Amino acid sequence: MVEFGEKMQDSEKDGFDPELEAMFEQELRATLQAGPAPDGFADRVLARVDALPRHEPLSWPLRAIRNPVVRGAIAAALLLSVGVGGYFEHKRERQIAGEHARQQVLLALRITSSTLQDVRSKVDGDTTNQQDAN
Amino acid sequence: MQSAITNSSVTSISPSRDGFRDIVERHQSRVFSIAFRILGDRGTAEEVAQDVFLALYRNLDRVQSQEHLLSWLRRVTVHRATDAYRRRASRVEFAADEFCEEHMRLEGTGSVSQRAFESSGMATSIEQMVSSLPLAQRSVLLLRYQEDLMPTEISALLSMPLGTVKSHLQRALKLLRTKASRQRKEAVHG
Amino acid sequence: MTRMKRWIAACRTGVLLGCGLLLTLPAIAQDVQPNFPVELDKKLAARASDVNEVTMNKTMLKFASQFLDSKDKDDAQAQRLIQNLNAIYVRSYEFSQPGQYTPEDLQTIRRQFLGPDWNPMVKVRSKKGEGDTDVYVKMVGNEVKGMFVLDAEPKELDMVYISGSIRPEDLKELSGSFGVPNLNLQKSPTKESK
Repeated sequence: MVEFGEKMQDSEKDGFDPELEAMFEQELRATLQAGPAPDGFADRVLARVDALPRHEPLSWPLRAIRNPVVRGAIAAALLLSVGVGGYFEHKRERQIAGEHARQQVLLALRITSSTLQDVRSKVDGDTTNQQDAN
Repeated sequence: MQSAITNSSVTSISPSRDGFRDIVERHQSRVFSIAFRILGDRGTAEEVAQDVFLALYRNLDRVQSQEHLLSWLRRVTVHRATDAYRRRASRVEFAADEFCEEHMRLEGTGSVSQRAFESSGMATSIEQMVSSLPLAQRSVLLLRYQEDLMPTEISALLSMPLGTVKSHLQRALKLLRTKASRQRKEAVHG
Repeated sequence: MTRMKRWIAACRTGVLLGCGLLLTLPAIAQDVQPNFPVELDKKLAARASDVNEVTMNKTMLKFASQFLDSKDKDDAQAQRLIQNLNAIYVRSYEFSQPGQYTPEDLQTIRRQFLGPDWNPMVKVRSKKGEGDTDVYVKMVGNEVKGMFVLDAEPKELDMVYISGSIRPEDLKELSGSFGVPNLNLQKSPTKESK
């Protein structure tokens, strides 16, 4: 580092120096080596692990649910079933509404026809009466 | 090691205790060092490092390979240490004195490897300079020079754009160079 | 000179556009459909012992036609009849006793069909107080664009309003099974008996 400091001072006037840069990085790498963990660190971690609440071994369906692929598949299946269910529900509701509309049209035409029949019978009756009167 | 993971993967809920101890012992120094260098406090760093291993224990069934384990540990440690750093509402900027004190204590009581870690005043000086870097730059610098990761790997690990990683690295190095130069001048004149 | 020609051309275009607009306005006005007096509807419905009200606009008719079975005779016939219609309004009220509506009520309804496009086709006024009947047809050019039937009896009042193109063959088709009166749509005769 002393050497590096000296070189750096010299190179300040010259600007970037690749050699100096490499030396500095080397120095950094050497200094920033991972240092040891405190004594007994692993024991303390293991003690905390031992203190964790023990889980009963999970049954295979629960174990399977922990698998991301299975979860994804379940989510996809649920989404699909909701989508399919929604589609069929919409189709069913549309069918009901359509059937109601159909009945309404037929009712309207039936009343129209019956009204027109009444009108005809009145017109016919009136004409007959007029002819009778003549 | 690989066998421990494979074993853990198979018995995902309760991995063998020895297998897990092996994992902890293998990776404790890197996990603790990352946490310590981000937090600058041994107590909190140990707490974070323990939490990381506990989280690993709970998620062992998801670890697919040695590389995955390593990358998982690095990512989770950086994130958890960063969270802990930010949580400290009344955090005093990492004090160099505390840092030196810690290391002096270590030198007196620590093992041979600990003493090697803190052997030179120069190392302490660089540690001090690194500790004074902004948090994001510090994290990136640690992953680059402690963990020896390439910028692309850091980018993937931290989900950070490659340009940002490179920019953090360049700024951190520039800052460190400036500090080193200033320190040298002070040493010469003072 | 050229400027003058351009000005004249512009004026001509303006006049033509104005005339076009004026000619279009009655056509737009023709599309305005009479509505059954809502208040009267409510009043009659409240007094009636049996009510049948059907209101179907073009959208509903279109929707319903998708559910009519073309293999069924009645459905197929209905499908053909409604394909060019804009709306069907039916109001049919049955009363438990006579006198639930007044001649003024009927007059209120008839007033809506006094416009120039509406032609009274049938007008029956019964001598014995058995009820009045009116049929109005809306003619636009030589085409029937609407029909209104009012059939009033002491204990029953029926109103049917059909909006849209009604072809003579539609009426014949309707008459084929339901019996439509012999309405001469071309001559528009009015029968009245008092």
